[in-house]
Amino acid sequence: MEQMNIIEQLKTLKYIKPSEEFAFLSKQAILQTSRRRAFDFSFFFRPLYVGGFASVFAFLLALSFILPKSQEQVYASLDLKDLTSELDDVTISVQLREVEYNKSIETTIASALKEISSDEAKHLNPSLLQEEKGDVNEIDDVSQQIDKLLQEVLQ
Amino acid sequence: MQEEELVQKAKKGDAQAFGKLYDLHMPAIYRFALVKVSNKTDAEDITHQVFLKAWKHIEEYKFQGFPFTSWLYRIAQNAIIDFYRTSRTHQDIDALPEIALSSHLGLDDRVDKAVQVQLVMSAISRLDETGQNVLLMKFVNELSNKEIAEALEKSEGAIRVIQHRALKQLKQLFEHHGTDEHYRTTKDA
Repeated sequence: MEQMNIIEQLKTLKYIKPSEEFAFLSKQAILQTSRRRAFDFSFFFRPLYVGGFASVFAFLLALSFILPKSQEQVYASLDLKDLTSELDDVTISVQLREVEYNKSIETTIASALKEISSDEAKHLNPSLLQEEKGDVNEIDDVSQQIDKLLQEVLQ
Repeated sequence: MQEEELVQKAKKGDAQAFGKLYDLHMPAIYRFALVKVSNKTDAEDITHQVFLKAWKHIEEYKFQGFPFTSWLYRIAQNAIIDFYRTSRTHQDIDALPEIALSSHLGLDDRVDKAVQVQLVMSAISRLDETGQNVLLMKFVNELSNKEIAEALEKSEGAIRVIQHRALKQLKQLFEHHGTDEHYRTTKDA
């Protein structure tokens, strides 16, 4: 068989055609499928948007020069390390106050106990207290006399 | 409208442009798939998958002297490889004459051509994968050597060598199986 004859035989495969029904349905189904579209970066390069983006960028750049300190403060207040160290300082100062209070209480209690136990604490001496009570009773008698006189005056 | 222009429009989401590309290339891709899988339903499934994938990923195609046809054949080849990976190979050549021929032919011609198609498909299915691809692309779907080379990712020189070898093998197959004689007998009858 000649080569040309073989090629002619091969060309008979051209008679193979898809059915029209398949062609129609397949095409419709494909074209109705939503297409995954890559992001169109050309959007950013439209003249109007280029001007807009440039203005915003320039404004932000100017702000960064004008307000460097305030920005640093803002950033510092948002910094996690700074916040943690600040919190540690607060805790330490609270603990120091507690230690100082406990120390003063202990001193007061100790001195009170010392006074009670020693003879020098005269104001706690029973005989002295008895004398003071007598003075108070005398004052009460005087007061009663005054009250009586006042009532008579009023009558 | 030039093919490149249609591709550019389709890349921007123009469904009508892609529809034209579909009309232009679908019969060839279907033919290619049918000869490779020898089953009408499978060939239709593969063809549908090829164009669906092409539509979804057309933005990835870049024209750099790389024809759109070659890109489609690459997708088709991958779809056929996937088909053979996931399903059993089954030949259904007997069913071809009544299902796959052009409806423009008369009844007598259709029967005659159906027998020829059946014989050629039977012979070509005995060739190796690359030989089949080259002969189908070159003589059935009329691709240039450059397009075939791009589709199969080989040099044009390699394509010429494969083509020559495949034709030689096909000739031997026809002679060995008496296809030519059978063809003549069928035609005379």
